[in-house]
Amino acid sequence: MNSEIESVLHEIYDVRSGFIIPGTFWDGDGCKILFEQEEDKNIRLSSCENFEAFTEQVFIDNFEDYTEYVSKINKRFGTAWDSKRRQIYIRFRRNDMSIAEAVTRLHGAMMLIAALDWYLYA
Amino acid sequence: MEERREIKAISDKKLREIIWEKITVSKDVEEQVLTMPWHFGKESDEKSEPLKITVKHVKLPRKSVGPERQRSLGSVVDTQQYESFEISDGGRAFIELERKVGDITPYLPRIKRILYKTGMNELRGGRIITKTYDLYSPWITLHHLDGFVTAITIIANLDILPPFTNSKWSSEARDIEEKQLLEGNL
Repeated sequence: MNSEIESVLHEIYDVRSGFIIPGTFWDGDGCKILFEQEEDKNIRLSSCENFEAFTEQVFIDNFEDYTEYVSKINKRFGTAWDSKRRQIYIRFRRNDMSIAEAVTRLHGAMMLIAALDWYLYA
Repeated sequence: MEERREIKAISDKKLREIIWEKITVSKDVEEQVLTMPWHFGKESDEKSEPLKITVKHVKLPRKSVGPERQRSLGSVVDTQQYESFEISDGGRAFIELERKVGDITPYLPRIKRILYKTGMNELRGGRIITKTYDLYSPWITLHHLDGFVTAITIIANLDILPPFTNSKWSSEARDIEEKQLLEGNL
């Protein structure tokens, strides 16, 4: 990435590590989204360790109590929950969806999952 | 150790697309409409549609900013008026929730609490409003709109979230609501 792009992105992206940070801050840290190109040419955008830490901190042992709502959120935004990695992710092909739309959807799902915390500790 | 696949380099055009452009706001223009991609669909196969937000350049009297906010603003408190951007969703969150549930009246208490939780947002004639006091730069990014877009997204999708049950929160919210109601904000 050249310096021009970096200057455009400095507020939102951590371009050095290949993450996008589109907002919704937890303890001053943006929600990182990892871009990955899979071998089958799909793109996988996924939440990162800070979202995992957030869900662990907030939901502790009762995240499973909210699986019903997480399922509804996933259905709405086209996202999915990886219970092994404790990640929310979206997988898509560039022909079917723009990256912007995919980021929008994943970000939206993350915001709603984060909001579930309000029901416990608000 | 998590397996890392190739992180694909993304073109300049796409990168700009992802960050919703750098949203330029001129203080010389009284009102501007900005567009950013958003997903309001009821199902994932509904195509995402842009969210239009209205940004008005307003000047607020000094007395409208509380002491705590004045401290965070630093030297700005020396001026008689505060430069501010008033950002509105034009009622889109309500429209989208209404499209999903029909009557939004039962959701109003939860909406009020969400506005409180996301900070500095208020409700005016069905529109969600936020004011940004501390924009020294002439442009806005998603950073500046964080609480605003969070509020809009959650309100537009309230039909799939559970109701609030926490008693502490209910009490706290009630106090805030009463204050806001007295001020005519809700």
